[in-house]
Amino acid sequence: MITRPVKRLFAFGCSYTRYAWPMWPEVIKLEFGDQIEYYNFGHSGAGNEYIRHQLFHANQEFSFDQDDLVIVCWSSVFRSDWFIKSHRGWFTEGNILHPGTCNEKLAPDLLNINHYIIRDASIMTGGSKFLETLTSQTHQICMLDNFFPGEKDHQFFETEILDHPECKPMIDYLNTKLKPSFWEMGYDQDYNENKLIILPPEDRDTHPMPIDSMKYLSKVFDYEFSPDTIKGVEEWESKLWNIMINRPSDSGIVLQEYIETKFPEFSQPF
Amino acid sequence: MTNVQRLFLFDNDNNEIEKILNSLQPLECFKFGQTGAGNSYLSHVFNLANIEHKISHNDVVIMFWSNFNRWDWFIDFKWSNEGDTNKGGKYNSLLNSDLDQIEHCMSRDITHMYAVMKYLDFVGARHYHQMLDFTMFTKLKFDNIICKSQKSISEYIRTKLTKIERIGYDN
Repeated sequence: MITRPVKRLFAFGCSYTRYAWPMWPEVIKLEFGDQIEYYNFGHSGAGNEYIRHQLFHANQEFSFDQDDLVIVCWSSVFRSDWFIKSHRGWFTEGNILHPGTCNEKLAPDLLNINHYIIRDASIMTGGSKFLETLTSQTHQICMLDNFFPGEKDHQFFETEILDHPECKPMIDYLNTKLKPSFWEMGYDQDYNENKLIILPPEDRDTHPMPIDSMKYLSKVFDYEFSPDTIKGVEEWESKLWNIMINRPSDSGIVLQEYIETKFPEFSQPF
Repeated sequence: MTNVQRLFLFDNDNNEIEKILNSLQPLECFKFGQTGAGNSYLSHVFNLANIEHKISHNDVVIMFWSNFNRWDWFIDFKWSNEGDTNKGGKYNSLLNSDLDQIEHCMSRDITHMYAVMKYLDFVGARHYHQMLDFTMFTKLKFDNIICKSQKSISEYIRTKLTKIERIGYDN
């Protein structure tokens, strides 16, 4: 994961990067402790356009250098991020087919998956080329494997697009730069959902639990976490289970919001 | 300007090309872009060109960036570049006005521009950038930059924009 000591960690991504409970950036922060400053730019629902925008903004603000570790966790290609003036910022609503203030305003003819694959292959290529320019240690990981059919929502997926000359060179390039995704490394949302089967259906959140994130990092970087980190992550997991199991059934809010509201120190432990 | 081995031109519908070619006389010239293209498309073809040709410090890259108010769609296995949204078009007409906001398009496009400019800085290529309507950028600086990330990225881009018709005379 690192080949020399680092002083700052910058993390970018969607809800797999920043969520109601500790995700992969927090696991890394736990491992390196006070040795590193830590900046998590992850945002729930974010697509790759937003993620790259934040990456560039952070570089302008913090001037990445050789003492930094910069990790980008790319999201699904089937998302759109909208900068809305009245909101004075970004709407990141997740999958474009899911309900959302902006998503619902997209005409059906503009929901062609091929467009979003080309768009994001280009965004990710530009982001990846930017990372090549840095003296920092950098990594690119992924929530899921964007360029192969399999995600349930990809009902419009046409595999010819992957061999199209407008797309193939970028995908070939990205395949040399991106680490295998959470999904490819064995993390399985359905499995996670089953693990949570004892909870009410609305609480069966499909995001990686703290141990899932640690296992992913271990596998993808072939990295052995310290006993203290393993113990700390197991404590997070145990606390998360307690929160989930003891959550009042009449809270009226989804699990993510419940934890962020009632246990903010758990959502952002550093 | 001397020792121009390869010239890469990325253009929307600009007519300065011949003047630039005459002044630079490169050994090889690669032209990309098409009428009506937006900045997403220009950034896309830059990426493809860079992967194929490995742009380096020996190269000159000229980017005629387009207007912010354009959308590029890849549908039915081909690009649709319909130009400014106010001029209509099959896909332009499908855009909801709540989504087709200049603030959104600017945030999208400055990110594309930043990626290209930073990479060219890194490889040491000589690179020049102009917007189809330069005032669109300067005007937006005051009217439409409403969040910190827009400001930080656009400040960098502003330092890179120039008047390209001067290339060949001031280098």
